[in-house]
Amino acid sequence: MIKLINLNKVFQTKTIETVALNEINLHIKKGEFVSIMGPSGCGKSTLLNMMGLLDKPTSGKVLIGGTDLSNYNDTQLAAFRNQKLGFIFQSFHLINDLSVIDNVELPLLYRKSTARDRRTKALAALEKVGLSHRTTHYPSQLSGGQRQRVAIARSIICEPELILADEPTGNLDSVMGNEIMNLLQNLNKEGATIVMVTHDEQMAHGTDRLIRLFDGQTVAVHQNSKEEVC
Amino acid sequence: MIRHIVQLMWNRRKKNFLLMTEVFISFLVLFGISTLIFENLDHYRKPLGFEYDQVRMLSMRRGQIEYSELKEKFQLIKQRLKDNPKVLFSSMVSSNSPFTDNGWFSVEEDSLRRVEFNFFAVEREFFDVMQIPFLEGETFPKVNTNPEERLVVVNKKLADEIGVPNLIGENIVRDMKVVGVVDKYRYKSSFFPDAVSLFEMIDENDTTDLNWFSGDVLIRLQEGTSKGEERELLEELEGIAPDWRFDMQELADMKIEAERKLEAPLIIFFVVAVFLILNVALGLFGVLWYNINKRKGEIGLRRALGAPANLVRKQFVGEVLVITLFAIIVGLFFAIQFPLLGLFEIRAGIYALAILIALILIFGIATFCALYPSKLAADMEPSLALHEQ
Repeated sequence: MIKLINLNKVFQTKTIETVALNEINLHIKKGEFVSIMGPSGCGKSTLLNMMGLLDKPTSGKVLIGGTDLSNYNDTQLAAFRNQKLGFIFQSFHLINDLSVIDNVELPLLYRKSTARDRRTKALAALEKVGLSHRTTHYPSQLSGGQRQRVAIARSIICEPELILADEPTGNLDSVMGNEIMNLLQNLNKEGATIVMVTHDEQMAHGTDRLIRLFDGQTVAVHQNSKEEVC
Repeated sequence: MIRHIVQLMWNRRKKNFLLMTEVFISFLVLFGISTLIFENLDHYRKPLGFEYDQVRMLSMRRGQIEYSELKEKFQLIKQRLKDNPKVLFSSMVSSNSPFTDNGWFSVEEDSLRRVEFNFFAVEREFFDVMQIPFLEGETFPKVNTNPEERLVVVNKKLADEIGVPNLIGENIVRDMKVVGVVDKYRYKSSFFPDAVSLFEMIDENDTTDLNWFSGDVLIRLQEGTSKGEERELLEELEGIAPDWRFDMQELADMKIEAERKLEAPLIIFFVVAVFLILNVALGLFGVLWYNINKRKGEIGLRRALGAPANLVRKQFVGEVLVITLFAIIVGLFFAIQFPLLGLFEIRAGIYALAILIALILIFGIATFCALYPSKLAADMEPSLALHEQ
């Protein structure tokens, strides 16, 4: 599903050069649930941004579904993200002035779809995350866990092949965190490939594979015997 | 997408209240300025109702004088004017002759009606001096044979206000008998509209009141009369009354002077208006910049969800246009009242044109102010924008 080949990312200012990723080679198979762990500043989010085509590598290649995306322009990359990728963020990134259902519909605005189609798909996504009774609420009226479930509904409305989750349980208590993890595991069972950045060992052990990063390099890869998070 | 932007801006209407108020005020200011400009242009391109090119205003200033002496000297002056081959027509007039900035507003009433008008005391040749054509009737007779009647000429505007068909020969109020109706008499300047006007015949034989003698005489000179010939005429007149002060001015110069006096307040108003609009533009620009900086996370999110940079730019410009539209809907409600209620006697067409220009300008300013902040939003790296939530 994803192939990272000799991936490097260097952030450069006038005075400092920071190596965020150093010769990363990684292959994530279709249907896999992979977690990435590491200390703060080790390059986890940068790696996720590269996979999500939100940032460009200094060198190396990112292949998603066998497609080399190096030569894609901004519009092509945006269309690719819209069709193939789903994003979940630690701070949810919901638009506070839009209702729950309007937030979920958001990705469909960037492709050809009718208002009725958007509404039907958003309702189905909200049903899946157990929030069909909160469609007209606003994010400020929801708990942290509910907000993250809205964000998950938004990430799956376009039925992406790959879901990228950047510390999805980072802002939640353990109960809420477990709920979200169960949701992600269910999505994975339904066929979605998921890459999750986390600081939580327990959450990471609930995935197929754990990749540990340190100073922008892959230092360890563990194959987990996947356990359900309760 | 349009529906999404409208919905988003509607939901954010409280946050954008300040911005909408700014747009609302600037729309009304632009509407006001446009109305003023078009109204003045409309007046400017319309005929004044008279010809002033060859007309001079002769002013005579004298001290205390007996009526008999005044009459005698004045008849000599008039005779001299009549005898001069360069003088085609002349008429004594009250002090409110064209472009003098003097006014004489009068009200007359009897049991039948009340009439308000700008009053002008003139002689029968006045309409020839000013080349004012008659729509109905004619100028005053040489002599008023019935001293019980005051003979008057009215302009069409006053005739329309009185509303009596065939006014000629009618007494409009008390002893005022209409002998003629003229079209327009826009005596203040090209920027003023026609006003209700009434011209009363000066009766030289009225010994009871010297008020009719303002000392001003309007003279129409033959085309091609030289400055030297004008000076000769003035010297001749000075010979009749050496203790009087004589002065002769061209009406064309007086018009320029009168309009120059209007220019100063107009220019000041225009500068203040431009400054206000600039302020509004800067305000719009600042608020947009601030909004975009506050919404970096949202910009990053939209980019992540599949919005290309150009769509982000369009969205922010679209948002500004929607905010402008909301403000303008309220502004239009107020602006439309002006033609509907017929305020300030300005034609509905002028108001409509002013509204159109104000709309074009305000949408232009809003779009221009939105372009740069929107470009900044579109140029943001999605990964950095997401990080700044």
